[in-house]
Amino acid sequence: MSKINTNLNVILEKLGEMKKLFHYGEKIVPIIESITQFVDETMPLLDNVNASIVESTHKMPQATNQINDVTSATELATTEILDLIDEIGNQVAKIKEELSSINKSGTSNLERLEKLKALVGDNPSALKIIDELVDSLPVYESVDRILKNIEVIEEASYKITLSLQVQDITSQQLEAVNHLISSVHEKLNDLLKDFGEYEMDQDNYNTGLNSGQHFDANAKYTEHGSKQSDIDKIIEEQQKTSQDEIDKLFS
Amino acid sequence: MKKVILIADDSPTIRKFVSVSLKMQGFEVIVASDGMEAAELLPKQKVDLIITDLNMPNLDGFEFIKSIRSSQENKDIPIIILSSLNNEEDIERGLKYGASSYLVKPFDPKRVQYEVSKYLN
Repeated sequence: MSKINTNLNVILEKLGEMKKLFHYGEKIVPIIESITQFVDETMPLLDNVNASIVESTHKMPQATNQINDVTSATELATTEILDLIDEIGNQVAKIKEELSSINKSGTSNLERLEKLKALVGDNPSALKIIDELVDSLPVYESVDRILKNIEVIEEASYKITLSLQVQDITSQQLEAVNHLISSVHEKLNDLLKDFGEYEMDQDNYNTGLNSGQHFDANAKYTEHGSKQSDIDKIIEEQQKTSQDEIDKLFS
Repeated sequence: MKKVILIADDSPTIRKFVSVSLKMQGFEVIVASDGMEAAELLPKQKVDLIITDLNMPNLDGFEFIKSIRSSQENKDIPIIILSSLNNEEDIERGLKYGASSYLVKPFDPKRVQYEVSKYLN
């Protein structure tokens, strides 16, 4: 009898637990329903996000290629400008050479006229003609003036070549951006591959990511000489340290 | 006979800048687009001075300098580093590997001319 009672108690306990479970289920069902609804509503959004990632991933190689095109174009233009500056330099050197020979011949003509003046003696008409000839030699002043103008041209050409170095600095910065884009592209590609959505077209996309970094991402275009003076100080300090070590060794 | 300077830099514009500036000083200039190409040129051509970048594909400037200093034939050639890297570690490393001077980009061509003349005149 007592065994039957015990069994009944166990059954009643189990029924109590089941009742609690049903109560809990009543509470949780609406939550599950709202989660299901949320997932239903989110799915299209997730599909959109996925499609957007695929599209962006497709566009990344194009962005990289465009950056490469910009670098090539500025490189070509800069080289062309440098060729022209080189040519200007060559022409200026020739002009300077010619001016120098004009100056020499002017000096020698002047010397001849001075000699002639001494030979002529007191002939006022002859002296007047010689003086007029001396005055008509425009050599010194003109040549000096032209040489000064040439110096201005040379200085301007020099400054242009200095400023054109911005091309090298910006190309390194663009290379750093390319590196960043291709790193993101690779990560996204791995992610999409896991979803089975996308396979990177390696044949048409080679940014050189695995060929080793050969740019300085921190390259900056600064005022000329400012960075070099810092470097000189570092080198001076290092050389001083080395000399101190040598002195210590032999003292 | 003109002294020969080898410029190793992957940037065509920098090669051009330096070449123009050195040719004006009367030097003969040969160029290479990376350390590997420069290292291949050395046995074929007598070079009096080298100007090299550090960040280059195939063989970077540090390794290139190391290879020069370890070669019996070229170990005494003056080497000028011309790089945009300007942190202390890179400078120290470059000099430790055997560079004679260190110049930073953007550079003043007159300073390059001065450094070259220090070793060649």
